[in-house]
Amino acid sequence: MDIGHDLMLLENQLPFFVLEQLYSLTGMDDKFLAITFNYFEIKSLRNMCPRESPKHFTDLLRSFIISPSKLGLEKMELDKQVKHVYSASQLMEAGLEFKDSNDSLIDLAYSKRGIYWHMNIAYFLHTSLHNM
Amino acid sequence: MEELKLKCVKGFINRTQLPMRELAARIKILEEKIRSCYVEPIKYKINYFLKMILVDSSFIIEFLLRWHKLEDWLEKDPSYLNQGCKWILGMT
Repeated sequence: MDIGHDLMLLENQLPFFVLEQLYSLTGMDDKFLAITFNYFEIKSLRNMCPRESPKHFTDLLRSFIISPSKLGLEKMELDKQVKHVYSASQLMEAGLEFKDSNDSLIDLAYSKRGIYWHMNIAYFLHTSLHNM
Repeated sequence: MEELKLKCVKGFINRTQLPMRELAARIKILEEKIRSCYVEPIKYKINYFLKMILVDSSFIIEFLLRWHKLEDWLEKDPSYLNQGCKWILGMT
């Protein structure tokens, strides 16, 4: 049983403000966002607790993933085009080597020795990113 | 899952010290705002829908709160760890 996974599924989302409003009735001191972060945080991705409340848990996951990135995606304009680059398999065919890094999930680093990428995400990718 | 859900919903109601009708009234106030979050029209009768939201929200809040104070809860209910295992175990 994986409750956390169920909570993340897009079809199970509840508006976060509803949770916050009801939580305020408990009289607890901690912020509900901090309590949520404590549960969903993925330390290996060096997530940071967002400053603003998400729309729902799936949105929280999105914000976790982009928060450690150096690309400044949080402030990116919505209509900005994403430029398509070569796929990983095309790059490998061209002779580039992929190496594991501890950086953000979406930042790639290129050096003479290859491309550095956070590779420890196989399980995470399939179940969660697909859902986003 | 259902057992844990029931325990958590009861736990949440206990925590607030409010009667169920008061909690329902708090959700009812948010009705329009909640409706506007869903693209498709809500197919359930509105009171049933709001009740589902209340039960699910109560469960989630209590579940996360117990996780937040995990040591305290494991003393009271050692099975909690298995029932509510942290998501993506091993990824943290």
